[in-house]
Amino acid sequence: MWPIDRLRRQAGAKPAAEAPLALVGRDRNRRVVTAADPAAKMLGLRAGMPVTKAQALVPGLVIEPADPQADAKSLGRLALWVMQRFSPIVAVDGADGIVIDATGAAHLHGGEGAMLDALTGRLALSGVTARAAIADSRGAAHALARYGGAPVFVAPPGETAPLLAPLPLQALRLPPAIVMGLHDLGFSRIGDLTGQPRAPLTRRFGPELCRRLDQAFGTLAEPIEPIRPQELITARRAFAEPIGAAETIARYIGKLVATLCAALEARGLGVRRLDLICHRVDNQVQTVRIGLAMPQRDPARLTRLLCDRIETIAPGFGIEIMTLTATLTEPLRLKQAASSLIENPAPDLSGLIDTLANRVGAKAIYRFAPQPSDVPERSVRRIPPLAEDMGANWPDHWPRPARLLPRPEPIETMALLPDHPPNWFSWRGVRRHVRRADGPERIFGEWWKRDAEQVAVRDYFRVEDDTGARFWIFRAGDGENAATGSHRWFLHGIFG
Amino acid sequence: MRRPQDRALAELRARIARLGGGGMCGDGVLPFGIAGLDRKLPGGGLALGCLHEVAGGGDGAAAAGFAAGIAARTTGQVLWCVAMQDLFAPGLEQAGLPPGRVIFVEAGDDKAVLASMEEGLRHGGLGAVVGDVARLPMVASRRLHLAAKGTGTLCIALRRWWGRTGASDFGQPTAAMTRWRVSALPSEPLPVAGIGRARWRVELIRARAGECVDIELEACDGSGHLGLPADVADRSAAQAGRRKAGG
Amino acid sequence: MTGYVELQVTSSFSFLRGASSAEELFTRAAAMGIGAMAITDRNTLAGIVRAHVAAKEAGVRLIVGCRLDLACGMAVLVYPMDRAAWSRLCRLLSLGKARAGKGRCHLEWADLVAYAEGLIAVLVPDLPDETCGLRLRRLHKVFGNRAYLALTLRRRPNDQMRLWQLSQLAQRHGIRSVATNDILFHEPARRMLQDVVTAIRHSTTIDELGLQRERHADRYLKPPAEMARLFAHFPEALARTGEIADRCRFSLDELRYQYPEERDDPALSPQETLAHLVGEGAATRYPQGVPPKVTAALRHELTLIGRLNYAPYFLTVNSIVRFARYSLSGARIGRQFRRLLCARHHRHRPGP
Repeated sequence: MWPIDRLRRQAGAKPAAEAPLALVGRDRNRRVVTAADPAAKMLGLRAGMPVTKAQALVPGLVIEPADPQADAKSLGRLALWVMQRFSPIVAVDGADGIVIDATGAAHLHGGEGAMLDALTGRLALSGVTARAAIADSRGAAHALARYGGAPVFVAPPGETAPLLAPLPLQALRLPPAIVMGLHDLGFSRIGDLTGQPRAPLTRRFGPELCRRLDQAFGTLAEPIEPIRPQELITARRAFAEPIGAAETIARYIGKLVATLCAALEARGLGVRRLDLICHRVDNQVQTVRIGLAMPQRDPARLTRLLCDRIETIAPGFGIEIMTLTATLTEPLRLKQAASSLIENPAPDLSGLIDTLANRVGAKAIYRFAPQPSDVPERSVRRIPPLAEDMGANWPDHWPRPARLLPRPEPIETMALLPDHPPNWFSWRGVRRHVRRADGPERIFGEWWKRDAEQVAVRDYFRVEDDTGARFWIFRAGDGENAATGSHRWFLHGIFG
Repeated sequence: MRRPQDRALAELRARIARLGGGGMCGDGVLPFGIAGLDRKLPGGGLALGCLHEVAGGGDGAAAAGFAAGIAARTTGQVLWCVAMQDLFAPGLEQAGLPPGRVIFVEAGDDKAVLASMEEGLRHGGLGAVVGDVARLPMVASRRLHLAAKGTGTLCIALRRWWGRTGASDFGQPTAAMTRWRVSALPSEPLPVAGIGRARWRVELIRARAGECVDIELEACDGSGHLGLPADVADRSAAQAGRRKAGG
Repeated sequence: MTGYVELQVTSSFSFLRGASSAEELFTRAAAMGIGAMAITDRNTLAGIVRAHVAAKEAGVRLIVGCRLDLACGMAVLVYPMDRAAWSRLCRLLSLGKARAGKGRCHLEWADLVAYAEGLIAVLVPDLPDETCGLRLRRLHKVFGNRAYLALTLRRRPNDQMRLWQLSQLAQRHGIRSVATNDILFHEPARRMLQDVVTAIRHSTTIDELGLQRERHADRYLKPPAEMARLFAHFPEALARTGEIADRCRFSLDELRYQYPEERDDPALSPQETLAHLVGEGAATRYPQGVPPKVTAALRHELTLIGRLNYAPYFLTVNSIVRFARYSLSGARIGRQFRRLLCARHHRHRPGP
């Protein structure tokens, strides 16, 4: 529950996590419970229950006053945080939700599922339990997030109808009076309503019902009004005549960038994340978001990065308003010019990295760095491409293959135990005769990481076949003790 | 024994290359340090500011090591574009490329790899740009070559393929300056159980303004240099001696 | 020839390095059929006493040894062949520890050279490179045929090649190689504890330990048959473990309470010195010649003293009397005191 989470986060440890907590507000003249935490809910508390009954039901109940205004303000701040990190179009949804337009933003986070996992995970780290769903329409996403089965749900595109059918009517965002009326008529699920003729329902309940149905199934557009916080630097341009041509869009992007950079310079800031929002005549919005590895303020570079993505903007019948917002800014550090005339400064690659990152995603560009681990797949880790070079490398210079398979692949082979290399092995259907071999290189598991690795051993062999091709194979187990591994053989890498 | 026509053709080709500027790119060369190899290359080494192609069997591991050795001997950062990542950084380090020098781009498909390579070449400031591609159409190769020439960066296209269709594609002409094939050879036997330094058959199968080469070498060491196997060196010295004696 | 003997074992007395106690090590060695085992703790002999007791209980012979980690980075296993060498080793370690302060030991190559007599030295090599060659040369110059090179399997790439190159290098310098296992714990399951003590030693958590872990595999006791299989290419190196074991016969049993030295002339044994003094005294007492009865009595008593090994005691009494005579000369020594002394002094001066 958002109010409970917010209170817990603010107060720190004050309401003990084990004690059931309920928030209390006024409903006309009575004091009622407005929100209860999971522990209290398990003991039978519900929203709307009078406080006296609640206290009788749950001894030791901790009561705090509800503060809807603080909740709303805090939710707004959370929405701003989400906007800075996940997508340019974010709005507050109701009293306890946030709606995000994820078109075009999902791929930069590695896919829709990955993006939701990252979002809920990040929120969980700060003490906020969240449920999330992605669907084709705002209404469907709202319904699935609150009433769907799983806490994190990705609805495949085009399959909204069967997913919505089993959900209760409250998921449609209808006023309680209409819901009660529908219950009286015998409707309990959204699926019950889909086949019904519209006219009698509209007559009985008004146009609201059908509007919500259409919004849920995506037949009626429901634009999200993105939050526009005052403190972010924005440049805005409205057009008397809607524009649509690519060159015109590019020209005005340039002008907006110039204005924005002037404002940034006045405050000594550089931009790390830039959002371009184009409002179309039909109330749809098109967005372009670019990210930069280091804070920048150079108009030419920013314009170029934005214009690279012009083809993702569909102007439709025309763009009325263009807004450019500096969503994430940082103080700009002025770099020292090269002090020596003799030595050449290292060329600045940040521009290249930014361009590539905006094309393939920032996660797809990296450098490798050594990680002190004996297990081969754990001995490398990825670091940002422009991170400082610590000069670290892998010690020991034990021969390692140039290519490592993402997962070791099983091979057929036979070898004498306990430590002889095999004479032949068969991989991907090709049988190879081993001419020379070296090993075993005994690599122990890291017992403090996983229990399964307490005694696990891999005996690695470098083998060379008749043609001279060299492979890195291993046997799981030391050949003597069955507990050290399955004693199956795998191929892990190929030497150059 | 070379026929007189072949020799004349080679000379003519060299002259045209010098006139047309398609041979030396004017940015300098990167010698291998192996006399038998450098002798056959125009300018005495691998031309910088050009596109070169390398292919290799065995899932392209030998080709990757060969390319890593070349990139290691340039100065500056190396941009390595792949569709799917399966390189192992400690192995590259042993070919001469420490992890601090290589920036990887995992682009997802061939088209994106080629686009990223071109972007890197155009930007400049890099020592080398390497890309793992299965298919290299002529148009794309020309763009890469021009971009490389523009900034004087060495560009290597690593050709990897699966199945027979890819192999046939490798035969298609491209705008590359040189085309290499690197395959593994049995390594030298050791007096005890173990594997010695790897050996490669390095073939230059096509070169604009140059001859073809087929040579047996030892794989790159920690500094990126190829080695001349001891027995091959002895054999060639013996041959030279014999020729001299013959007069 | 006793079969394989384990010559390189680190017990828990190498603080925060070994993970098994002497009792566990020797019990396991007995179970495996190893006839003799050495304990080579790092720069200390502290564990030898416990090891001695544990070895007796388990029925395995203890070979006394120590691993000297010199300041230049060289690591040498030393085994005293006799009691004199043992004393020298103790003095060498005392020298190193006195120099370096609490818990540390600082020894240079020159120190080892000075105390080298009677010690067998086994070099613990790393890679077969120039440094190794230099150390082998030095070792051969100082220790001659008491110098050896340890060959240990590391279970890392090109192991067999490394061992082969090391044995070639040793041969070139006239040094014989010997096989060891470099034991850190007595059974494979102790590996985790060994990692933990390594982490403590480096003052980090086990997660951060990384590559400071002991990375060479298989540091547990192996039966002789297994060692024979692993070193199948180096049978002489295996045999030499027995050879070294035979050469080092020193045991702690040889140490007993030792009466302090009282001799003026170290070339003579205590018994000989006493006989000489008695002869002198008798000549002074009986200037006309010692009567045969006295000679016979003296001879009988000297034989008894010789058999019971009491000569040093009488020499002490002699020293006291001498001291008393020379420092208290002029003063009257109490009669009773003198009588007492003389009565014990073999009735040489039975006078007043």
